[in-house]
Amino acid sequence: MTSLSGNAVITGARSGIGLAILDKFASCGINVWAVVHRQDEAFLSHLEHLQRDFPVWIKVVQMELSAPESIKAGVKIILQDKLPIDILVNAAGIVGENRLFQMTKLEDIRKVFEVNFFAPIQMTQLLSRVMVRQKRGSVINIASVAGLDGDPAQMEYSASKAALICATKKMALELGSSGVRVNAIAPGITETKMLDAMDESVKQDMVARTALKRIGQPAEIAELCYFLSQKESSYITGQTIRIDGGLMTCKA
Amino acid sequence: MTNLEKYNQAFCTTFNLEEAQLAGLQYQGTELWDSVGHMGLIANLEDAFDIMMEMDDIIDFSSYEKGKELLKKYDIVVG
Repeated sequence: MTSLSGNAVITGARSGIGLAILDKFASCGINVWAVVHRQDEAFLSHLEHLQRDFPVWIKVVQMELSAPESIKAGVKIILQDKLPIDILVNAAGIVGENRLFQMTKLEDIRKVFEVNFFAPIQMTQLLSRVMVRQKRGSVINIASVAGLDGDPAQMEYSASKAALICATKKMALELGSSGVRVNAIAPGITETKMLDAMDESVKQDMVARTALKRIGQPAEIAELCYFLSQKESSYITGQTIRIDGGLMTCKA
Repeated sequence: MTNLEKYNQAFCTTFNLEEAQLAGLQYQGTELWDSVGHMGLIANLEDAFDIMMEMDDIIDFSSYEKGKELLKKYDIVVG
């Protein structure tokens, strides 16, 4: 598969699926603005390695994704580079606590929505203007099967991802005529830190309900993300693609 | 190129109009100035003046004249 060798913005790039996407893009010659909440030595050292191993640049942009003003300031930094923006991956996400919805404070629900829904919307609003000007671009929202199937433990998480999935369709419809595609990926159970927040019995149940009988790897999600970012997927937009190891509603 | 020339060019390019048709022009006052065309105009203006417009201003941008007024917020004076 040939590389686009373009420029991408990836949120949540410091860990989990976002980091796997960063690795994949860098290895394919795609330059990256890595949007992170915080950075550390290990992350910066990893970026140095990537830039040494592959002909790319990676710029770290710090943003607090629960704060619209911080997003605006971060996007201004990206735009100051005056470079084409070919890909936006909204990968950052948070989970709330496992508890009854009846015992969940509205402010806690809002906090999850700020990062999982409003931040991707704002990022796409601001950066799609550049893509519209370029007449090309691919936006990929990392949603979740929880947004499609629901989740017994995480109301705010699954509701925010469901909202993102619906928004993906609307954005695709609106931006399609300008050559900008918008898709979502709905991973199933995936080996990330977020998995720690999942109740062990729910985790085991989900694995048992996958056809492949295992947890997915972030690198597998990154492969799909890469495909959606490239011209090989040029007729795909407005879709939410499950990547869940064949997760079924009942055990096989 | 003066700011007025840049401003007019953004309108003419986006909506396929002549300069003589711009005075008094309002949102949806010409075929191509629909909501999609509006965002195209904003993109062209942002490009021409190297600015990032606030969402409130994008929504308030209701006419050729109103746009000139709004651009003052970004230190752009269109003659």
